[in-house]
Amino acid sequence: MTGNRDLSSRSVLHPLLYYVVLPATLFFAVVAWSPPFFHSSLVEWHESWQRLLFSRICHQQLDRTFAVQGIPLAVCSRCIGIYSVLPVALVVFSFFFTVLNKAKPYIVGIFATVSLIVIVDGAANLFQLWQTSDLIRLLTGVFWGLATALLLVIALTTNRDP
Amino acid sequence: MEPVQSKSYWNASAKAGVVFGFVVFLVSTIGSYITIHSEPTGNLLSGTILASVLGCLVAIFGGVLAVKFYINEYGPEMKIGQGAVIGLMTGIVMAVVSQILALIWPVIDGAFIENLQTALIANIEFSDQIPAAQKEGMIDGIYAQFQNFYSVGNILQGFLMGVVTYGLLNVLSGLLAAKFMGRTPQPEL
Repeated sequence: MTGNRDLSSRSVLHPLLYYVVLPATLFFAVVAWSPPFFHSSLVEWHESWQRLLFSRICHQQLDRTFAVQGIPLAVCSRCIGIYSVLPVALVVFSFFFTVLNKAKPYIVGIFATVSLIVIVDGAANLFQLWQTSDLIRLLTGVFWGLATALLLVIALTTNRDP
Repeated sequence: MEPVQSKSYWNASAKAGVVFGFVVFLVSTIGSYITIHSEPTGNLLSGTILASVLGCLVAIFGGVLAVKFYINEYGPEMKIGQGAVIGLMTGIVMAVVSQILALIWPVIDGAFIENLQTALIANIEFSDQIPAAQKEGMIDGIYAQFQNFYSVGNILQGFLMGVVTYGLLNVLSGLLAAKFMGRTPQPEL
């Protein structure tokens, strides 16, 4: 009687979303945005712990990084899209997780498609096949962040018997 | 009464952490050599672009591999939280392994630090994005950074940064792997 079991069970969000995933993504977002609020020169930015923290996972090229009053953020334009949208999308999606859970059969496809777009654009820029503007890079990052948030919310939705 | 087998995460985390710690170190070191052997472009991190992008992509698979090892060892029944813990532990092992290898490599290639320092400084001098007044300060910063390469503070900082980035990224990949590769344990009736 699997069908009855599915009908009578209710979906809940795993507490890991609130206690681990959301704080972690919020931490990355705050740190990524923070250098212009703590440093007043490129020298300080270059030596900052915020830049060092992301240096393992982002190229941080100055010409591909947004700056506030001349001080770059800690990550490139694509990454700032990802890190900015992730915690916001997690909070918003958590209100609609029962509806979003209906996309479960398609989530891997959605995530793979968006990832492929980001990888192709990133690789093309890297190998100088074409150059996309910072705005396009930001948008690809935002879409990847949305897809990741959707993936995480669906992964953290569990069925619990009443 | 049969003895209860305790399911340790360490085996899976250690194996995946060592593998991916080595891979992350390898990608980063290759990136450094690309910087060393390239003409200065003015980009601070010209040769390490590939390394940092690949490093990010590669690093998140540590948690996935660790969960795979765990499933191979104990079967697919696991909770999402277990995947997150396995991912965190894998990230910590990755940080330790990559940090140790990064400290050993300059001993093997004695000119590595000096060459990398020279290449980075050449890029700063060539850059048109850095105001001339700030170039000197950045070059001084790079000198200081490489002179303190083996200082306790520098080593601890590198380790801590690795734990935070690899740890948190692999928490996410570990829990996703547990969800999609594992199976939620059913309560006994």
